[in-house]
Amino acid sequence: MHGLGRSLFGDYLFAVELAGTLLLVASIGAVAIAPRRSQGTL
Amino acid sequence: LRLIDDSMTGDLERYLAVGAALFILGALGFLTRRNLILVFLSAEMMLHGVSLTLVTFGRLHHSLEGQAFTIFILTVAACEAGIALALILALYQQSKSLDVELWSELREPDLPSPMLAEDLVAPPAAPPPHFPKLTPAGQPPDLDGTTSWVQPSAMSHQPSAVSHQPSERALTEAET
Repeated sequence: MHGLGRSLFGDYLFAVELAGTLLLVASIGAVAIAPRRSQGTL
Repeated sequence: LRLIDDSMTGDLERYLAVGAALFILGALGFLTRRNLILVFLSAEMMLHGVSLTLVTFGRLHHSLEGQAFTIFILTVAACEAGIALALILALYQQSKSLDVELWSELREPDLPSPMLAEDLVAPPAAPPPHFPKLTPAGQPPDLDGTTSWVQPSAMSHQPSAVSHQPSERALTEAET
């Protein structure tokens, strides 16, 4: 577990940042795609 | 360099078997199911079978790259889940049904539909609107609400209103 954390935030730091940005963009996109809540429906 | 630890090989084979079973079950569900959410769930099962195999091979080679890559796979799967559920919600609000056959217009235009016409499930029709009926003047009001006051004059108005529409449609077709 120690080696995994050191590997994630050492070698793959740029990829971790990229994955966080991807999560942010995907959540914004999902909110934009989802339809508005109308009366009495989901 | 000793790549394969002999004491761990039996466990790793079991992990590989579980990963392969997850992938096969996901593929079967993806190809046979017609519910949008179950199709999406089967795709997730295939993805996680592959990631379990990746972790197993990383363990086999005594490296952490398999687990690190699997964390990124989980990140992308989370993004995919959010967007796919939003899309499913949008499609459900358009057709009021989760059947994938309602969205089969994306196939080649000259090919027939893969489903027979009687197998297609029509989307549930909206209930007819309920309009209140008023009592006409000069008659005692119906307190029970059982009698519907349909006058013959109201019936005679409807064919004339309907007969206007084909002439207007013919006019618009003639203009185009």
